[in-house]
Amino acid sequence: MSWDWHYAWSVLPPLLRAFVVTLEASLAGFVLAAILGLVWAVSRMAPVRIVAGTVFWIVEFVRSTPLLIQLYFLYYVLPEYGVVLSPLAIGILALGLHYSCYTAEVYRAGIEAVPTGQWEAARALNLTPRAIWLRIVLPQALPPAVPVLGNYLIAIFKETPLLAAITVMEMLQTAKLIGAESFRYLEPLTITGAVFLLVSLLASFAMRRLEVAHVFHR
Amino acid sequence: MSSIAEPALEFRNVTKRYGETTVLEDFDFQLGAGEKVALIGPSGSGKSTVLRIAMALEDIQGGTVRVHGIPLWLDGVAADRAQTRRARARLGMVFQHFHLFPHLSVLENLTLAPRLVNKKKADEAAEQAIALLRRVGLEDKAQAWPEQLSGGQKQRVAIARALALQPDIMLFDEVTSALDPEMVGEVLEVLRELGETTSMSMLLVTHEMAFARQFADRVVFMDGGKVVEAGPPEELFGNPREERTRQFLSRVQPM
Ligand SMILES: Nc1ncnc2c1ncn2[C@@H]1O[C@H](COP(=O)(O)OP(=O)(O)O)[C@@H](O)[C@H]1O
Ligand SMILES: [Mg+2]
Repeated sequence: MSWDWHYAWSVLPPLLRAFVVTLEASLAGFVLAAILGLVWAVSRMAPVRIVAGTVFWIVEFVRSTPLLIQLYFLYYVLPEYGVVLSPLAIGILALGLHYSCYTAEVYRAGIEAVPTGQWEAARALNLTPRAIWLRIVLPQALPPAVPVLGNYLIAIFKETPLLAAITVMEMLQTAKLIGAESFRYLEPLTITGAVFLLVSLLASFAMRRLEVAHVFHR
Repeated sequence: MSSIAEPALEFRNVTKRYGETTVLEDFDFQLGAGEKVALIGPSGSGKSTVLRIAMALEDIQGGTVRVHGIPLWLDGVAADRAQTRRARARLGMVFQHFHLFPHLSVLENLTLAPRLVNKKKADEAAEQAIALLRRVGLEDKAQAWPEQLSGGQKQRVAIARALALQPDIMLFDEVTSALDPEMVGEVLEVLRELGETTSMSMLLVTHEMAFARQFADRVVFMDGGKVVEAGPPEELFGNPREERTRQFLSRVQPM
């Protein structure tokens, strides 16, 4: 079986449409992971023991189980509780939840890098806990976290083929269906792989530029 | 309840422990309204701890702490959050290592708390901040970033930041100890000016004995978490009663 340019050309449009789904899932999953991770990181430092402890175990639990199991779990179990979501929505939810437990660590490192003197000076100025977080701690903790978060965006992007398992029409799933119809897998799978390679390389390059820009900031 | 004679700060039977280590035990201390007190003593004797307890930055394990009559702790029981904030509003604190907010300009360092805590309007807060910067000799640095300042300038900004909330009591924790020697003078000069021109109560932890002598109404020497001796500067420095005070003074001030 040799490479057929005609065939490759003809399968490109549906694959690129599926690429849009892949991008949607990556970006939406990342935004969810970025927000939830921050919620975990801040609640883990809550003065209320139960809150901090509960969040600690949620994060440990999610991090210690495979994403694929979490995908299947949400896909099959949520409907039993009357929560009916599209496969894509479930995919985004799972990616966001799973990776939030990694971004939480990134935020935690950023927060812990803020010297205790900053907290004390802020408390001595009678700022409320909310103002201390929003005006003093997070503005110092978040900028160093940005490049690391960017790496998780790339990681999430590369994980999206897992969503094929729950019938999301992202690139891999589309390539599989095209291949099954025409009995030719070489071209659709190669194109899919090449797109992942290209986007990952571009994104890594952009991340490095961002890191450099961050280092030289001010 | 409050009267004119009421002290600015009152510590009664205060016990402070970090785990097994007892830092203060049955600690008693008063700072009179308008009084300037220099708190001296060897490193590790608990001076910072006293200031941090007053600022409600530390829990205690027993005793009573009042700020202008407002209890922060009553017989080992903490005040609620609202009351703690009310007590804290009377105090300003300056730290050894400045703790300026590095992501904010000098002006924003001074205006943040007045705007958020005292609900001042932005222009009003800025105007007051500029006046305070002028007072500490740094009005040209309003737009600078903290990292662009020398240590002495940082500490003067930190003093102005604490003053911006218009406290009645100022706490200074070794505010010149982290400075290069040539910058100590400019900061002490600001303290001296504050001491002479305001009626604020001041509690100053310092190793600058010559400055303490001219600045303070009263000097308190503490060691091992207890007040060993207290009195007017001429007496405590000139004619200390306690042997431990004499030993300490002979070590810190060359004859
Ligand atoms: N966070 C802490 N944990 C444990 N011990 C502490 C802590 N802070 C201070 N201490 C101890 O409390 C004692 C008094 O400290 P401090 O008030 O800082 O002394 P000073 O300011 O007089 O040098 C010291 O023995 C110090 O080691
Ligand atoms: Mg100290």
